[in-house]
Amino acid sequence: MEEIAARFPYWFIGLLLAIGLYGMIGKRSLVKKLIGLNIFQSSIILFFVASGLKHGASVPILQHEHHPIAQDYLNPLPHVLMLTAIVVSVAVTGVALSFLVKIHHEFKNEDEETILEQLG
Amino acid sequence: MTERHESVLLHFFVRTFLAPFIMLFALYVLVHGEASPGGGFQGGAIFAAGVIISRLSLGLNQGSYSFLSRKTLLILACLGLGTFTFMGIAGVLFGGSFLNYGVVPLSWLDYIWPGDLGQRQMGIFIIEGGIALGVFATIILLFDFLTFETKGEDVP
Amino acid sequence: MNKLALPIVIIFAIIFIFSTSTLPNRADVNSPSNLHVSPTYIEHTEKDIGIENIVSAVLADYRGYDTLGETFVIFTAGVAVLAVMTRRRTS
Repeated sequence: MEEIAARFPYWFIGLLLAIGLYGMIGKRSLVKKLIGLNIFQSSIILFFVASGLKHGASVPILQHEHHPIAQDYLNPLPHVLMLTAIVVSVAVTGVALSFLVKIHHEFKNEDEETILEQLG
Repeated sequence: MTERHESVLLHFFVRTFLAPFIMLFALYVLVHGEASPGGGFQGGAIFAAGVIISRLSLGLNQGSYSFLSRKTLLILACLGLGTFTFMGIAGVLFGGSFLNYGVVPLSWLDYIWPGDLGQRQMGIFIIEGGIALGVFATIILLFDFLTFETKGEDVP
Repeated sequence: MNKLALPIVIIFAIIFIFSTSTLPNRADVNSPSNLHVSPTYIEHTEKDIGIENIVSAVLADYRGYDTLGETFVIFTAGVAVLAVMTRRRTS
């Protein structure tokens, strides 16, 4: 039971990774591939944030004490890195969506194989 | 293009309550970013959400902050990025290293905005504002370009 | 290719879940990522920077380069969307 309690975030994250990977390589629609990419990124973000957890610690905001102890506060570094990763995620999604809009104007559908056939 | 169904209640609700309060909350998150959860990225994203929710419900008309055209948003994004870069270079100009705000003399800002902030905190506050401006303008720019069609040679 | 996708994904998930047995436990205080540099940030933020929010301090001051690059990334994304979605005169 303790083993399960210590491991279950990783299993959940592995499940999300698998779902995202299946969306990227198993689906034919380009929009669904993009959604799979977003799920994949979200699982990576969850993995990093979960690694910053400490037992019995509080949020990383100092409580007006002069000598803070590292055991009392959560690890702030994964939060910072994932804050920037979320922004990268937004940027990637925006650029990919603009490509998708242009592809839809050109080929009138988002199906990968149909587009490859039309390209010859 | 399907016909737009105008809803007076939706217009009133979004223009009067939803968008202004989302923006107020965004300002709170931005300004209190040093003492509570928050900061530049979050504040800018929430502020952009306030503009986007009004554009989603009202379209591009007077009520949905149409003065934020694409040209204006591009200028705002450049301004935010320039603020950050300028604060970085200012550290070099005043004899420190790049992005070292501790050496930039900003204590005169205390007369404008009273508070017991030191130079370093004031520098962090300024670059958080720059980040927020850049993120805000870029997210609305992405939304505008992806949602509303560009007309012919209508280069922004 | 579509037939192969599901077995590949299932094998990947099984390998990942087996490999997690070497990772530190959930909420482990002594895991390597909690012992390397983050205690320095937590203990020195009050003295070095003087603000309460450690995440803001690391984001804007200790790792300012990272944030500057990040702002450039999102600005570049905006300019890229502008370049893609703007209709050319010659097309």
